[in-house]
Amino acid sequence: MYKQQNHRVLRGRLRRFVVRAMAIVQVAWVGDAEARQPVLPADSPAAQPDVLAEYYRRAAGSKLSPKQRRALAQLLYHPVARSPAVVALATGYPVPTTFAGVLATAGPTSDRELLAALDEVEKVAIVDTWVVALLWNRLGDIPEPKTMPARLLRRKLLHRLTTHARLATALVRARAEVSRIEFAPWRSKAAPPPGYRRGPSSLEIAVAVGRHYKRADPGTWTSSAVSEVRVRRGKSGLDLIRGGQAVKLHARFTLGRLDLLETTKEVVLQTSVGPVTLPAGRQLSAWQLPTLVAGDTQKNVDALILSALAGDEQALTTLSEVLPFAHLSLRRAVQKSPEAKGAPGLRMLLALFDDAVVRTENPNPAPSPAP
Amino acid sequence: MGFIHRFLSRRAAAIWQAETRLLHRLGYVRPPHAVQWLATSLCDLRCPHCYTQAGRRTEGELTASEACRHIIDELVVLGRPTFVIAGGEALLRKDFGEIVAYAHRSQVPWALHTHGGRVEQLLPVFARYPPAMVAVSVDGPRTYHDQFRGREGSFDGALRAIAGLKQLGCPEVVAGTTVNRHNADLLADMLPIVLDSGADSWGLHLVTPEGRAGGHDLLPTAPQLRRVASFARRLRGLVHVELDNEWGSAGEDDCFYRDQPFLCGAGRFVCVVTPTGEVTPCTTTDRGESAGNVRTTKLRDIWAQGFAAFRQPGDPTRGEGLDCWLQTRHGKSCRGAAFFGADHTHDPHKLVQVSRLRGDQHV
Repeated sequence: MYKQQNHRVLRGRLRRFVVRAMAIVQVAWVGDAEARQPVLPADSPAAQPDVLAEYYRRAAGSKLSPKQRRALAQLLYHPVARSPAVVALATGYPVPTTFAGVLATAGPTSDRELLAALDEVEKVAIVDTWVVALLWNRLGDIPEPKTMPARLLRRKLLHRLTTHARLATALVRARAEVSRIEFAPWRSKAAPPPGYRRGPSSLEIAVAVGRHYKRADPGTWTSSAVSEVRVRRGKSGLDLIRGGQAVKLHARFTLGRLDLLETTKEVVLQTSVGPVTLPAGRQLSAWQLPTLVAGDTQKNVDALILSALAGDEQALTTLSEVLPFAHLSLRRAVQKSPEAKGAPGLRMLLALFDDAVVRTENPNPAPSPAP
Repeated sequence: MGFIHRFLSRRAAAIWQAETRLLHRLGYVRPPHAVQWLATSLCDLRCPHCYTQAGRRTEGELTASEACRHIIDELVVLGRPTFVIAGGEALLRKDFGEIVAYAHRSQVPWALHTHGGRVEQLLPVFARYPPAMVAVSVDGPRTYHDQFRGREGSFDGALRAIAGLKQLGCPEVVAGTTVNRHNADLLADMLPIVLDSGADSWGLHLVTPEGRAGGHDLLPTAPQLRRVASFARRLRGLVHVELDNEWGSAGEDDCFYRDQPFLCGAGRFVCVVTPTGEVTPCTTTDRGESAGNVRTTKLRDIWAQGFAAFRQPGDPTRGEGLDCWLQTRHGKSCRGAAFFGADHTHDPHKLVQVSRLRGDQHV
């Protein structure tokens, strides 16, 4: 039993206001250091105050209702329904033409088309990680670029996707910052009060986004479904392209899904399942890497998959650390044994790798010879 | 206004704590935002993760008239916070309709947590006395759900409940999944089910080691926690997914997992009335945490005079509010691994410390 105290329940708006004001003063006394310099990406059509304000209005629910968002999720999840007409009809979502074409699973696409689609959606203030997921997943259908202009275009596309993911992170943080905060019990216990709306509309978002963008990362794109690797041989012949730029390469580095590896000579990477040899003269993304896994390393991956399918939690965890190298084998295994005990775990890993926009088709990128 | 607004939002947790402590010093408490009533221990299922050991009815449960007089009338005095009815399975009470009718007449908004099996039969009651929110448990795909809940057809019943409630126009129907070691990796398979169910949101609870769940370690492993949190974060752009209170705080990253920053509401803005009328800070089964019984003391007085440890600094588990108090007191702070990375250890106090650090950085 708790120690009793002689307290009363607070009543009246004025008293509440006074106590709230006192609390604010008390917390403010500690100081409020914040970076005030807005920094927005120059090459993103979304990074304009009016576009961001539009995004915010949409996110606040004035344009896209929760029902529409759910419908959109269903459409993304069920590729059969991904026709532009169905998207427009079911969601009322202003899906631009090229982007709508990319939504459809069938049909060829190219880096240039994906870039155009990204431009389109950013101009109408669709900024979210699912956009990155959708476009990045389509990248798996495009063969590895062989010419220098094609490689530069691929770099540009991944730079833009990285920027978009960072912008999405900054927007979430900014929304949380400028939205009305109430400690509401309805998170899990009750319900939102009548007339509740998620956050006010405000142009302040642009300033807040700018402030957060400076230190925003691409979120789950760099924090999960990534792989720790060590360069065993040929470090001087390897460039790590991150956000479209070559970054300083350390002997150990984390390979993200938006990264590219460019080789000028043969390179051997050590992963936690064994060595993987990258041939010279290639530009490799996470969609090509599984095709280079061979020999004992592939045997290790297969053994881990067999254990994971049997329900081995440790094998599942190890596989989660080598997804950029093993996702193709995982897809095959799940297709072959969809009812296995551990199959849901493998599907969960694939959902993390694909960023929850699950592919139904096998990407199976054909290994292309060095130019 | 702009600055105050932003300042309030970014420092909301700190301001809330400061306000709660100030009020405590001045001899006041805020009225609760919600009062949860575990209407009965009776349940027709025997789920391994049940936090209340539900099954048989407890002797001395509050009658309908007691519930109306000792709880609903008191909620009117307390400014009409939401009256959340849970269980056991609250819909097994024959007087359920009578109680919600009284709440409706008293203009007290009510919400319900249910396994959904009896919703269809009671749809006329829901139509007549509309709830503010109903959370229906969905633990996994059909086979898993039915096996886990020990009854074939319970999965279909839950889905029919969600559809029926949405058809009635219930403003918020939540598909609630209690994540445990066995279903943590089923969430990708569950996504299409939840999307197709028509639920407005997907609440991901985390098993708490009390009641029947205390008898076996169902808490997901650290890698599972990371996977689930990461999955939820990805989905939030598309569907309204929330990591509920049992997950604790993600510090400055809370905005990626939930709509509002985390603050444990136990004894601060929520309390729980047990089937026999004891008032506890949350759904704990530890009767030693009771601050009084509504049969002998008015709820308003119990609320005002109890739970001091949650409203002042000093107690490392109760006084901070940055972690789920119930999980922390059981030493289950490895949940921090979900947000803070693989190097997070299982130190029971680590999460509170890390959260505080994160809060400081955020500030």
